[in-house]
Amino acid sequence: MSEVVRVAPIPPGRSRSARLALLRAVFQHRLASVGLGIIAVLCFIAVFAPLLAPYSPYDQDLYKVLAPPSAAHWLGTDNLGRDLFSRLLYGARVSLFVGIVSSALSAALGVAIGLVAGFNGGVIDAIIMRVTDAFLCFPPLIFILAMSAALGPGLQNVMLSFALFGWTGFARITRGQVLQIRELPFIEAARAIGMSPYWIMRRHILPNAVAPILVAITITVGTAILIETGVSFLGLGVQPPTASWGKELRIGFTYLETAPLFSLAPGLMISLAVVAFNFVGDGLRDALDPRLRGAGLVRR
Amino acid sequence: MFRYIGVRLMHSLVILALVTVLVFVIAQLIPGDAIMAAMAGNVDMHDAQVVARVRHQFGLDQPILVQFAVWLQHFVRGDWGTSIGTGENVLQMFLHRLPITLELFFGATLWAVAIGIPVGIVGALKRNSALDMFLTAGTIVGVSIPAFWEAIVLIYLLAVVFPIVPPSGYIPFGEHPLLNLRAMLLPTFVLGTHSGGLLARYVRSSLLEVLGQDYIRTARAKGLSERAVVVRHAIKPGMIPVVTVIGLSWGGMLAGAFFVEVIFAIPGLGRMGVEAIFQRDFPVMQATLIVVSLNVLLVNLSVDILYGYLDPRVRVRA
Repeated sequence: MSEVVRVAPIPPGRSRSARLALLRAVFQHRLASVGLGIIAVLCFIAVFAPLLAPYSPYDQDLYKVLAPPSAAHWLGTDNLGRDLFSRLLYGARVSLFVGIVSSALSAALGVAIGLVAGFNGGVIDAIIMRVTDAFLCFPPLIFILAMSAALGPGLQNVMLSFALFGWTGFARITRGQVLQIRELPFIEAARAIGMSPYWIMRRHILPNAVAPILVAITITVGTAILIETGVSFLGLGVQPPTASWGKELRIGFTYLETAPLFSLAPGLMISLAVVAFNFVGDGLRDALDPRLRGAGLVRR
Repeated sequence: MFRYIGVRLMHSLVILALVTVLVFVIAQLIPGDAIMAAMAGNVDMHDAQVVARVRHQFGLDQPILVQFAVWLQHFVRGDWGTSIGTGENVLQMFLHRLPITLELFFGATLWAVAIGIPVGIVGALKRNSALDMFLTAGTIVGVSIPAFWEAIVLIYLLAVVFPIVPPSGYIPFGEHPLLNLRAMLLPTFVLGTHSGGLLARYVRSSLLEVLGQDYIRTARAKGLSERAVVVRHAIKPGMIPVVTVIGLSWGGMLAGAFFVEVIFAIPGLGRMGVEAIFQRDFPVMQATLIVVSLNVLLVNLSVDILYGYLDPRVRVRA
C-alpha cells in the first residue's frame, strides 16, 4: 500500500487499447496469472459456499469434538464439533468481503483527497499532504486494532478503521498522477473551453490516473485481508459463531498439539489469499512500470 | 544542509502535533468514556459518586481541550500517567519492557539481512531464470504470509513434531544467555522473514538498476571478469537501499511484534500494547500509539536527512 508505484499515465485516446495491452501483460506474467487463478477459485468458493459445503458451518456435534480428518469430515472438526472444511469455505466470504469493501472504501477516500490536493495545489495541497504524512506514521495494524477496540468488536468497525488509516497510499498515488496529468495540454484545453474544475477532474484527470490506483487496490485487498484476520486473531473483528479464518486460527492455536489442522488450514487459506492478491498486484505493477516495460522483466 | 535539516525538522514537528491530536481522539472514541469502559463489570460503576470521583481523579470531567492540553503537558514532561489495569507507572512499564522488544528487533534485523541480501543478489545476477522466479515467489510469500500463521507453523514443526526449541516463553539474557537465545530463535526468525522478503526485493531491483549503468559496461569493456564487476563495482552502490529498508521496516516490525510477543508469550512492548488495547487501559494505549508513531517519525526523519546528505539533488528539491 505504501510502496512506491511508478506508473506512467495512460495517454488519452488510447486508453481502451492500453487497457487491453495491460490485461495481456498481466496474463503473460506467470506469477500474476497464478494469483488470478487463486483469486478466481476463492471467489467461486465464497459465492457458492452453501452449495459446496457438505455441512452447515454452524451445526454442532458435541460427540465429535476435535475429530481428526475422515471421509465424513475432510479436515476434521473444531472444538464444538463443527465441520472445519465447511467453516473454511464460509470463511472465504468474510475475508473477501472485508478485503474488497475495505480497500474500495479507502480507495474512494484516498482518491478523492488526492484529487483535491493535486488539482488545487498551494495551501490546500500542503495541508492535506502534512495530514497524510501524519497518518503514514501510524503502523496501520496497531491503529486499526486501537480503533476497533475503541469502537467495539465487529466487522463494520474493522472496515471503517481500515478505511480511516488505509487512504493515505491512494491519496499520495492519486496526487502524484494528478500533478503529472494537470500539466498536459489537453487539460489546458479543457480549462480554455471553460470546463468546471469538478468536470475536468471527473472527465479528464481521473480516468487517466486509474492504472496505478488499480495496482494499489489489488495490493490493498491483500493487506486488508491480512489485517482483518489479524484483528480477528487477536479477538476483535468477527464475532462468533460467524466462520472466519482469523478466528478459527486463534481458537485452533489452543489445540495445536491435538488438532493441528484446526489452525494450520485456516492459516493456509489466509496466506493463499494474500499471496494471490500480491502476485496480481506485482504483475500489474511490472506491466505498468515504464522502466520495466520492454526491458524483458515483465515476463517472469 | 542546515536549512534542509531545519525544514525536515519543522515538518516532523507538525506531523508530531497531528499525531498527538489523533491519538487523543482515538481514546475519546471509546463509548461512554475510558473509565467507564475500564470499570465495566466492577460493582462500583453503579455508584454515581464513585464514578464521579474516579472521573475527577483522571481529569475526565474537564472540557476536552483542557484534557488534551493537560495530557500533552504531562506526556512531554515524562509523566505518562498510571496504568488503569495494573496501577504501575506507564513510563516505567515502557522502560522495563523496551530491552526485550529491542532484543527481538535486533535478532529479527539480523535474520532479515542474512536472508534478504543474498537472495536479492542472487535474484539480480540470475535475472529471469527459474531460480530468480523461485526466489521472487519466495520473497512475495515471505512478505505476504501472516506472522501469526508462520509462527504457528514453526511452533508446530520445531516445538511439537521435532521438539528442538521451546514453544513459547522468555528467559532474560542476563539470567541464562544460551536459553535466552534458544527461546528467541523462532520469534526473531518469524519477525525477520517479512523484512527479509522486502529487503530481497529492494536489493534485487537496486542491483539490477546498478548493473544497467554505463560504468558497469565500461568495467566489462576493459576486460574485468564478471565476478570482479559485481563484487567491486556493483554490490556496494546496490546496497544503498539496505539501510533505508531496514530502517523503514522497523514500523512494520512493531506491528509484527504485537502478534509475535502474544504468540510466544514474550513480555515486551507489543504484548503490553495488545493487553492495553483489550483492557482499554487508555494511558498505556495512548503512550504505546505515541511511541510507535514517534519511532516511525524519527526513522523517516533520519532517512530523509541521510538522503539529503548523500544526494545533493534531494536537498535542492526540498
